[in-house]
Amino acid sequence: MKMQSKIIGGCYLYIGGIILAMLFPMDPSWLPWLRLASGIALGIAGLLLLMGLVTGDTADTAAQRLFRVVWPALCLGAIFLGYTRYTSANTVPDMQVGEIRIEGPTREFIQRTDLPDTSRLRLEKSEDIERDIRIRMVGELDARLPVIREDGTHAMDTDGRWMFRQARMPITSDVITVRAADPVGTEYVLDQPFSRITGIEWLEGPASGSVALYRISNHIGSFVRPGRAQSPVTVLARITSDPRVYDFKTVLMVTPAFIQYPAGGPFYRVEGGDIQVTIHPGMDGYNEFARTAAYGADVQIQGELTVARAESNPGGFNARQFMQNYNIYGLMRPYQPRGQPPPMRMVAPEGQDVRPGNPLVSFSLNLRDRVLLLFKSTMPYPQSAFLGGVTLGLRYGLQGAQFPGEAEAGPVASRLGMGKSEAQIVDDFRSSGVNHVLAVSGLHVTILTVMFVAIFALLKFPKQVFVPFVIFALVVFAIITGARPSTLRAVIMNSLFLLTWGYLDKGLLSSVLIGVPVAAFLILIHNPLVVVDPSFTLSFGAILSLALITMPAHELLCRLRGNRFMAVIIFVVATSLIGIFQWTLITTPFFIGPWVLFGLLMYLIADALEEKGLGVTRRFAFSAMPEGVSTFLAAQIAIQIGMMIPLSAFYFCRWPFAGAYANLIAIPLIGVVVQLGAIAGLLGLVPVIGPFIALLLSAANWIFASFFLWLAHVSATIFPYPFVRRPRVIEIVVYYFFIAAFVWHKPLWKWIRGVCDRRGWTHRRAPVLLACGLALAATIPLWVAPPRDTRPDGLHVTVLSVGYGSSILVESPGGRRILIDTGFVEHERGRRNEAERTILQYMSHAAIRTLDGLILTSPLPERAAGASYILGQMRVHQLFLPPMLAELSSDMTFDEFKASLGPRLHIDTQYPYERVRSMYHELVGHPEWPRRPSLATALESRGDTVINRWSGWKTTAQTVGAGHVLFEEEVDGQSFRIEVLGPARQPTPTRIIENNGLVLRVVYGDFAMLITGALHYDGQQHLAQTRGAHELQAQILVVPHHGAANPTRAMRPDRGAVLDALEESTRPLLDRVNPELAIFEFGNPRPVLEDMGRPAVNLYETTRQYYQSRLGTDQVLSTDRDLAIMIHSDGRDYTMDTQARRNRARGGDDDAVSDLSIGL
Amino acid sequence: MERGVKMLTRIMAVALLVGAGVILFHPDYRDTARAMWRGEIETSAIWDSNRAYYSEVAYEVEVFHEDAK
Repeated sequence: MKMQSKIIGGCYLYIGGIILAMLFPMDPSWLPWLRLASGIALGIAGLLLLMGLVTGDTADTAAQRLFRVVWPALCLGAIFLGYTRYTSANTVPDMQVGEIRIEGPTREFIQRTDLPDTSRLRLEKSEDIERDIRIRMVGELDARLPVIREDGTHAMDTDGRWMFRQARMPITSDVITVRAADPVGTEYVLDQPFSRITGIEWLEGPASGSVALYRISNHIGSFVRPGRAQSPVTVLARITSDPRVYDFKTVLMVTPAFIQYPAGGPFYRVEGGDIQVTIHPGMDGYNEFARTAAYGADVQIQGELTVARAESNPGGFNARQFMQNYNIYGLMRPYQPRGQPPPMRMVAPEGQDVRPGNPLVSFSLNLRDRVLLLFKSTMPYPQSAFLGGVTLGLRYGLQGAQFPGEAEAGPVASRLGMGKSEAQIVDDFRSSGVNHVLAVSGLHVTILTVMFVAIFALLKFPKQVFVPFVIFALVVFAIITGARPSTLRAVIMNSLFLLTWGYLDKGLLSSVLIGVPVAAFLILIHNPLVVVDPSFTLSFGAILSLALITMPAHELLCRLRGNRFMAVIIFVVATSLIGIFQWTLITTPFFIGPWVLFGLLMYLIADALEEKGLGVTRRFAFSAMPEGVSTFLAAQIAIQIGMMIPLSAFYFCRWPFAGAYANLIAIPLIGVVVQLGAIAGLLGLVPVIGPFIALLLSAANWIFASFFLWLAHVSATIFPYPFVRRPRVIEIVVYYFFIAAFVWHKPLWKWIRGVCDRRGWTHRRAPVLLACGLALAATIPLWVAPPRDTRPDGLHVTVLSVGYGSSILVESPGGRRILIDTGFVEHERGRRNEAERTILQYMSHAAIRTLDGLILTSPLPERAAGASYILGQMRVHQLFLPPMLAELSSDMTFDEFKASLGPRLHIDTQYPYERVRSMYHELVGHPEWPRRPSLATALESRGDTVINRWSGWKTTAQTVGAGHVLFEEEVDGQSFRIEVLGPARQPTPTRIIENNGLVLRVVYGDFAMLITGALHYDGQQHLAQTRGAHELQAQILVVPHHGAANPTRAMRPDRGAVLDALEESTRPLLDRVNPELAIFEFGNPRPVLEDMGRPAVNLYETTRQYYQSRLGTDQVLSTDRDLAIMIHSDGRDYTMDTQARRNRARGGDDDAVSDLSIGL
Repeated sequence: MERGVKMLTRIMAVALLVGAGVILFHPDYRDTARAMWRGEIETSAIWDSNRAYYSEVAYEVEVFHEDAK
């Protein structure tokens, strides 16, 4: 086997080792042995390879025979290496320093190794014991104490080292009790730190037993504490990345050197992990950090050290894992109390300025700033932000940038009826499938490589001379753009290509074949955790698709000519048009099946006509297109089937339909934009004449950039951006098996024919039958894999965690899916859309594409704002509305809408104008933004038409009130139903919006759950008075009004008044319902309630304590702390699980950072 | 590679011509060209539209050093 193949194979096997570690994780205590095995295998491979090279392998010598061992050794070594790298990167193992052993009268502490630094310790029970062990650890601590300068900062010496005083002190730990009742493996953390252990003080113990003593790693991940109200720590660190500057915050990445833990305690030397620090403009000295020059600075930070949240809902985004993939284990949001010094300050070495960072990085970032200055001077906003994003990787600058209005967009936009849109450019890019241009990747690096090579070639430099310069430029570009995996992959691959092209005269294909695995290996040896990161996977998926699928696709397409080619074109265009105008038809089996058959029939007819000499000329063919165009088209198809369709569905549960078309123009266009931008930026640095040349080039580029923005906007406007079912891993594997069969169909076919020949299967259809059999066999994993939903039969209710809002999915025992409320949509700064971000994501994850019912309990935005998005993406058979929305239609004026809510509704402090207006915008429409979805317009588009009926897209709306039963079914002799208990026919006169919403009771057999919606105190009292206990009884109560109802008109109500209201109104309801469990749907209220957010948190805390006093602490759950809450009932009993508990079971912490501490 | 050289040369030539046209006919670009000639780029309409975009990258960095409070 050639050396190149060995290298390629070794790299892929290393990745295989990483995948094995993900699928079959091993106890980290095995790591040293695996490392040893890996070292031995690679050592043997290296040694034998060397021997083989020295002795030559032409003769049948002993060395040659040994050489045959190289390959298996290399394989094993690569797999072990991948496995150990991933396992060690994914865990922070503690080090065992000794053992406490008791054997009869012998009680000894066996110390295996010294403590390397100030250390925290823990004991771990190794075996069962008859009696408790009670001991104290005795030792010494060399405590690092801070040296503080006059200005209050931590001192640093002239060499840039942090200064400490050392204080040696004897330490005796608190009494540690290893209980006999605890299971083996129980851990006991010591409160006191040690630098040396000198002995153990025995207090009590059994006749035999052993306990292991571990040193807790000083990795930053071991210092973080989840949840709120942490005691602040002090971190001495260095800023190790370019600050990400937003208009309202700056995000910095710091690598900590020391941490004082806890406050006032000793400093520990940090052994790994970075911290993400977020600061806000209110902090003194903010501007020093919100600029490139902050890179490399030493800083002292005081604040809470917390950790990012894992999934809030099943299948949701795991921010904690995402950050850890980039070595970020802690979060800090320093807060400056009034009159106090700033919590984050730069520190300079004694008598010097603040230290700069790495010279190459500093140079690159300064170069970027100078180029950015030119862009700002020569191109208007937002085109400048787009240019900064695609050439300098400054994609955060596009946040909040809106597509230019109709006047700026030109007459074409208005002729297309695009009208005014509030769509942000980043949303347009995402929907149109051209978002990849903002993630600097292979496309950009290749464009720049070609540009630099062309410039040098133009200047007649020999390639052996300029290749190193081009590689240096690419490295600078990678640094400027943030060195993300996709950029690194492209820079490594392009550098390898340049080296093989420049010095070995090798072609592009050979460099791609070796470049892909080598680049992957180099990135993953540095950080194996990014293997599952979309940035890594999509980047390598794209390049592998281009390299492997393009040519087979091109060959296949080149067979299309004459009538066949025409038939395929007609079918593709017609399918696309159907997708544009009614994409749900494409996902309707009753439509897509006949449609594909129709396509096949059309193809056969076209073929038959051609044989009779009818139809278009055979010169009309795919192969007749210019080579560059046909290859480009084949490459686009390759990217779609190799990367976009499967991976977009897997990662984002969406498919950018427009991308297949928009990229046909966008990719060539971005080549022009990036090249002109880069040349303008570089030439603009030339003194005197440079800026004028840059202005000329940027003026031209302004046209291209504007056209790009317009293209993305039009594509996003015309094409749908549908949610799709998230495929399972096994489905992805089978999909790629078929893709691989397509790529290597020629050797595969040859092998199949060979098998038939060897077996004597002479029938002419035997190879085809064998191929079909193999294809069928390849699908076996799909049939034998466990089903997606392994939950037991019965009723399932999922209370989703959607911040300060509500959304509950009920899955009936008979298989019906009913969604109650749809969460909040924030259109302003945060642009958080719970319907898209949480509810539809969860539906895609759970493979739910149809809802039997959607129930909106109230017009309040936190409950109904997402309804239009749900209706736009899912089949919803029935929509149930509260009576106050009976007259909902898209032509209602604001006054009509206000009157329909209730004739007595007045705009005042109870119902501020903005809140009622927000309801109007979400439910009826926004007069300024006619393209924004609203419930009324969504409902009208789901009317009783033929296509809607055909595609299952028809929705029937109905207003309901007390006495209605929305769903009823009988399963296994037990009755399931959803009853409406409120509002009564006579509306409650006070708090009319809250008190006249729907109150629902979900009943299955003996189990019941009461969903009280937005009920205010008087509504709760009214419900308790008008309904009997048998009507209200429920094991689970979803607390009314998120537990944050304000009983007074005061902005900050007195706690006593709240408790009085709870006693007066909530108590009677609780007495009637008699719940075992109460659920608060709560989260950061600021996006919904704005200034009333903080008072709402106080109200929630008071109400929560009241419920806890009534039901018990453990019987009160909230979507803020427990995250999504999953309930199952078999009609007799019920079980409950929470997402927080699931996260804990997967090794997470007890709690996550609450949205409350982030948002307020 | 020769194709790349030709392509780049063509793009540059066309871009310079188109750029000259835009400067001639687009009032903001005309204004910016004049401001650049006077050495007062911060007074141009284009710079003004970019004022909030990466505001820390500016010609007058001294202003930027002031604390927010």
